[in-house]
Amino acid sequence: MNAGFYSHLYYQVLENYALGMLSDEDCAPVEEHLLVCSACQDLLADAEEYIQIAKAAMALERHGGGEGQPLVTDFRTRRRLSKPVAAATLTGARH
Amino acid sequence: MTASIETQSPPPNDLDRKHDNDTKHLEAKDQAPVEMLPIVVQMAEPGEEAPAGSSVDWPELVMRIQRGEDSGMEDLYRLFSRGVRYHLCRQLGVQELDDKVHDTFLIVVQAIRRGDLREPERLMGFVRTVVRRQVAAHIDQVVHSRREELHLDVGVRIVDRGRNPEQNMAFKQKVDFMLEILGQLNERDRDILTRFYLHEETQEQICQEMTLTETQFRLLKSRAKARFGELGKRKLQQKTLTPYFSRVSAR
Repeated sequence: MNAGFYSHLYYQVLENYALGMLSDEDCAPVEEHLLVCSACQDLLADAEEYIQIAKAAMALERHGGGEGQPLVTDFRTRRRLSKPVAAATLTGARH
Repeated sequence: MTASIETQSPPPNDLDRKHDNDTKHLEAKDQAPVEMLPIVVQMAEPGEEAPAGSSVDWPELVMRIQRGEDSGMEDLYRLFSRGVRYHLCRQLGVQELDDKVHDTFLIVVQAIRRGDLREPERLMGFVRTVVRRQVAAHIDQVVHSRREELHLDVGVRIVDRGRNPEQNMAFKQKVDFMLEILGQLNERDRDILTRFYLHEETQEQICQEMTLTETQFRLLKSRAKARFGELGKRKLQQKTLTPYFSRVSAR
C-alpha cells in the first residue's frame, strides 16, 4: 500500500510533470509523493528552473537575441490543467 | 503511460560520476532503462534520506486526529506543511500563502473529524484532493474578480514569477551556460533538445520522428544537464579564484 512512500521520483518523471506531460492518472502518485518528500520537491524546483533556462536559451538561439533585445525569462509551459482547476478556470471564464 | 509503483534501483549508467550531489541525484534518477518507463518511483538509495511519511501508520494518525489528540495534529502538520505550502506556492504564488496553508489544514482536520475520510490509509490522496480544490477555488475566485478588468484565456498564469534584478542576472548567466552547451552539440542533438524543451513535444513523438531509442533520448538529455551543472560549477570556481589570481599577479 505504501510502497511508493519509501521511494523517490525519477528526475525524468519530474521533468515530464513540470512540462505538463503526465496524465491525470500519472499525476496522482507524483503529487502525493511530492506532498511529503522535500528531496523530490527540491528536485522538481531544479527541473523547473532548468526547463526555463533551456527554453530561454533555445528561444534565443532560434530567434536570435541582438543587443538591447530583452531576454525572455518567463515561459509558460503547455502545462495541462488538472480537472478541478480547468473546471474552475472555464467556469470563471464563461461568466 | 500508466502509473505504477515499483521499487527497483536503476542500473549503472555510462555517465562519469564526478559531479556534484545534484548531478549525482539526476544521474541516478534519470537512467531508468526502457523497460522501466512506467515506473514513477524508485527506492531511496542507501544513505539517502527516505521520504517523510515512509514509516507513518496512516490509519493510526487519522485515529489520533479524530480523537483530537495534539500529537496527531502536530504529526499531520509536520508531515504535510512543507508539501502543502510548496504545492500551493507553485500553483498560486506566495500571496496569502500562510492563510491558504492554514485553510487547507483546517479543511483536512475537520473532514477527518467528521469521518469523511473513509480510507485512512489514503490520507495523502485526500490531502492532495483538498489542496487541488483549494487551488481550483482560488483560481475561480481570481478569474471572477478579474473578469471585469481583463480578458483571461484558459492558460492564464496565476503565479507571479517575477524575478528581482539579481535573480535576473543569475538567470541570464545560466542561459549563457546553456547557449555554450548548445553550441557544442551537433545540429541533430540540438534539434532533439529544442523539440522537447522549447516545443514540448513528447519523448515518444521525438523518438519516433528522429528514429531514436528512448535510452538515447534520455542519455542526451541527462548529459546536457550534467554538462550544464559542470559548466556552472567551473565558472563559479573561476569567479571565486579570479580575485585571488589578480591579487597574486599584481605583486
